Amino acid sequence: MNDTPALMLDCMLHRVGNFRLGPLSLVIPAHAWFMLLGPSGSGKTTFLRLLAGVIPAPSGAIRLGDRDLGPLPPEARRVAYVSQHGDLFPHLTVAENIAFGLHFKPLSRSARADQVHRLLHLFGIAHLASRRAANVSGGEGRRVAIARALAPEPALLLLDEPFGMLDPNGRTELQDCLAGVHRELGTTTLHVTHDREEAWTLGTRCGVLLDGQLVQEGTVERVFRRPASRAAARFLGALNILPASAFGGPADRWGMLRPEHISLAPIGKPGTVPAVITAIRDRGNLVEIEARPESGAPALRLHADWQQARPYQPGARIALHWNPEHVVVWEEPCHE
Amino acid sequence: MHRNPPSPLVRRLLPLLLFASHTGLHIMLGLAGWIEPFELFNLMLLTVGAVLCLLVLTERADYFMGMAAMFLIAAHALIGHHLAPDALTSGAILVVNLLTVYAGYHIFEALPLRYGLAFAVSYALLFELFIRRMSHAEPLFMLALMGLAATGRRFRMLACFWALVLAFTVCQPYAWETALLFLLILPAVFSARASVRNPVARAGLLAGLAFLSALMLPVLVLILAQTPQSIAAVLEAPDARDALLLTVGTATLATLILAVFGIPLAYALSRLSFQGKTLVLTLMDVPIVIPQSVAGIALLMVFGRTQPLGSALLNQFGLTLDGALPGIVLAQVFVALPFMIKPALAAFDAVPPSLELAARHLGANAWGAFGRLTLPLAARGLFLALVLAWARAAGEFGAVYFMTASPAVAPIAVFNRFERVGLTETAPLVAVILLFSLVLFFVLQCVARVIPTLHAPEGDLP
Repeated sequence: MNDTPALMLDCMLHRVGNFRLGPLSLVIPAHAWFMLLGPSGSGKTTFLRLLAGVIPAPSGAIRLGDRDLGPLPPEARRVAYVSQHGDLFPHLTVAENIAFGLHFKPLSRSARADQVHRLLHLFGIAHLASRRAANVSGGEGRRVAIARALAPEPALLLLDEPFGMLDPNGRTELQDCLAGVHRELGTTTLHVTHDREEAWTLGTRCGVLLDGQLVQEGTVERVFRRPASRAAARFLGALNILPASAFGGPADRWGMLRPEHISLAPIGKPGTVPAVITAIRDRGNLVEIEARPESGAPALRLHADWQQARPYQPGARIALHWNPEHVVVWEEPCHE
Repeated sequence: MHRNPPSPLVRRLLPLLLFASHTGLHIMLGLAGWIEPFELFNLMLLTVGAVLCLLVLTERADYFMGMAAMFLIAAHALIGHHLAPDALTSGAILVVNLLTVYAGYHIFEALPLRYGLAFAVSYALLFELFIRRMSHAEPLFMLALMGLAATGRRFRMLACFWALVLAFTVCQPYAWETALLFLLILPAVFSARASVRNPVARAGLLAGLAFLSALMLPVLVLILAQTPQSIAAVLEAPDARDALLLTVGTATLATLILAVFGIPLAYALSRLSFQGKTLVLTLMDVPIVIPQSVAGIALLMVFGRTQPLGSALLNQFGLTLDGALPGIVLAQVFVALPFMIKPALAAFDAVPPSLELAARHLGANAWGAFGRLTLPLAARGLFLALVLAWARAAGEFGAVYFMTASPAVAPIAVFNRFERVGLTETAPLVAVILLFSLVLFFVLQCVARVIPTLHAPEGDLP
């Protein structure tokens, strides 16, 4: 993977009524799979529609490779957009759906057939080729929609919650399938979702969009480990978001400490915090222990595996230990 | 159905009592001169009664059936010849009644009570209809009883039976037409199903179909009244043929004009929102709302050759509208306009804009998305719009009459002929037009079914 930028946004700004999207500045490297995370109503879909040219060009620049997308109509952008519904053409077969975009390129009939054939196999839907698009299942429909979008070899693929309305198994299968396709084709992809898990399995980079503002952008690892703000951390599902004093930080700042960075230690060991277990919750593959430090600080949550947690009951005394480097402290002032 | 058998003594006494009263009444009524005691037929009935009595006593016949047969025979022997015109008829009715009792007994025995009740009520109604109302139509009554015996076991069959009986008795002048309508309605009503039993919808269906068939009756009567000769005579008459050809030609031209201007307008109305859109949509309905004659006069006031615009057209382009073919087409375009626009609008509305957008993202420009996606998906609706507009244009009388009464299109030709020669002579021409329209409409509907729509055909499912 090289780092030549594929998509460059410079101060892109769009207003709808009271809602303001941007100003957004963002660079997505070529061949990256960029996850844009955000809760419902944060402007994710609007963002994609702006890039796809559905909504007229906003102020600020959008560049794709060496082209300025601003004045271009949707069909000239080489941006493929897969909406939440897939929008398959119901009167055409799966193969005809995939071939649709190829009719507008100067391709020979055999080149067109080859491309369709390649995508059908890449997405594992060759057996559906002659079935009508109206008669494929949800997961199959998603594959067809994405295969159709990739057929004209777009410079940028926009995915709007591609796993919405799929059951967990279908979701996992499609994720694996898409990861394979991306390895093969390397199309720069901007994937919008509110599902945090998807970011881990697919994304190489990730951004957090809150209320129309891109609050953080970076590698998936970094965004999850070090959320840029309390709001971002909250959306990313972080636990233990507390006044930083709870972790031994400054009292007038907010901070967080990920549960997996807190460990159980022998009672009385120096540098540990004595605490009392207030609750134990079985989360399936791990156990969440909630413990209140004896100093009177707010309760902390930590994760333990099932074996580790077995000896403990609510009310038991334990000692907590963490490395102060793992504590995240934000600049937001905390008045408590 | 399970009945408690009477005690053995009663079982033995009853047939004997029945036979004894038959014999006793035979003798007494014979002495009184009410019946002929030595008539062969009456003696035969007495003998059959005796044989039946023996069979029942020795339990070689079904008890109930035997008793019923004995009772029927006794009744017919004693009073039958006073109800029926002669002994032979009475005997024939006796045989049919035996058959009816046999069928009715099995229905009571094997089926839920409502079947038995329907059977009994049907019998009473048939008696009322044929014997009392139609004053002794015994042969018909017997025929009907055999029909009843054959159909009583299923409500669907019974309903068809009654449909035929009513069609050929009460609805006599239009027997075939009503029979045809009944036989169209009944299968629909009996095959109507809902996932949850819904008597309201079913009652609505029955009432609605009855109403519909009452309205369709004139159409059927008109068609069925014609013979091939009368239709051939119409087709050979040059004026009728000319009128038909003229109608087909002008209506087709009017539909083409509407297609060229109406389909783009419908697409625009479906996809764009603009100031005054509601007003435009309301204006579309004007040709439906105003009376045809008013439309004709309004057109004449603008396009007539003495009016400013009409005379300008005549002088500049040599185009005459009123009293000429262009006038016919203009009037047809005017009245058929909403029948083109509204279904076309609905057809375009049914194609989600998101699909068009998907096509744009795949590289199709607006024309490509329209041509490759929207048009094929709306095709069936658009075709139906064309059919409706054509039918409306071809059927227009009032507006065309004011613009161009001659040469006469088919509706005007019908009117002229009616004025000249009256109802009987006009009927064949009307029937031809009607048949022509119906066949054409039917064929076009079938064609429309072949055109793919948004919804895949059911047969395509995996």
